[in-house]
Amino acid sequence: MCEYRLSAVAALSPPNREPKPVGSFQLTELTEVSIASVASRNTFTEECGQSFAQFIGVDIPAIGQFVRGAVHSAFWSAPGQWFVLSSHNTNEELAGDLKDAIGSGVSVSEQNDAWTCFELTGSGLNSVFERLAGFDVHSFSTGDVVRTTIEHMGCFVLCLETSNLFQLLVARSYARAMSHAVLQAFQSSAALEKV
Amino acid sequence: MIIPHPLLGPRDAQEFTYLGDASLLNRPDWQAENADAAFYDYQYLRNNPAGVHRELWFHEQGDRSWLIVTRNTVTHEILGAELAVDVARDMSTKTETGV
Repeated sequence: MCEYRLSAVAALSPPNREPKPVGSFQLTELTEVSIASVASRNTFTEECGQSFAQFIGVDIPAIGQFVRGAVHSAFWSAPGQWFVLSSHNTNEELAGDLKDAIGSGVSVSEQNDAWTCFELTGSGLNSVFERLAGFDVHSFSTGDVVRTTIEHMGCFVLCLETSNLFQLLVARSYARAMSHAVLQAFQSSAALEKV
Repeated sequence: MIIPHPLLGPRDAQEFTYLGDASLLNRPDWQAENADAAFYDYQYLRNNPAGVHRELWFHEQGDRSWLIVTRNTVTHEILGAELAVDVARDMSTKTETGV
């Protein structure tokens, strides 16, 4: 385990980091997420796939899907490429562990500080994503993932529970802008609920 | 325009960036005798058809794959889309086997 002498900071500084409830919706920055990307090389074999599945504890996610194991979760990001998410407290060295587990058939990159993970909760989040993004959120159900744009920012949208619980991964440098965009969409959707 | 992504289904053209004619996949052999002329053609000369055109599109705001989209440049009708990697693989197989 590494020895740190500097304090880690989240993408959003207080008070922006506090969970933001708007009507029935809430936006929270998840600061305790370890992220790594896995890209298959030409030498990727069936054994590599099995080692990968064994590491995450479930089958490798299919196209446009994400899966959750006991410790790790993973989602498909491109042909032959996946993202793996875990707890930062217990799996800080996720990228190294993945590389050790799968071997030379893949390239693994640590993504911990590249992405910020937001959690969106609330009843009827579909109306929020209707405002934010161009994908068909109404055909989206638990376990679906899409890479798309929100306010010109590239991001991953993960559906953890149909219309009620989503996670949003966006480049860390866009965290404030994305938070602002989501909160505005919350306000628009919450205002309509009152009508 | 809606582009029918072979893996992800119909996606808005906003998510893609356009590169150009699909003939760019046929990169000339740089060691060939006529490499100068071949690269001049490759780099600067393009057909500009009014009608069906095969072109390269990059799914930048999606799964980052290159597609070959067949599009009618007059009507903007999209006639099909396939993964460029599959097309390139087929091309190299045909070259190797001489078919």
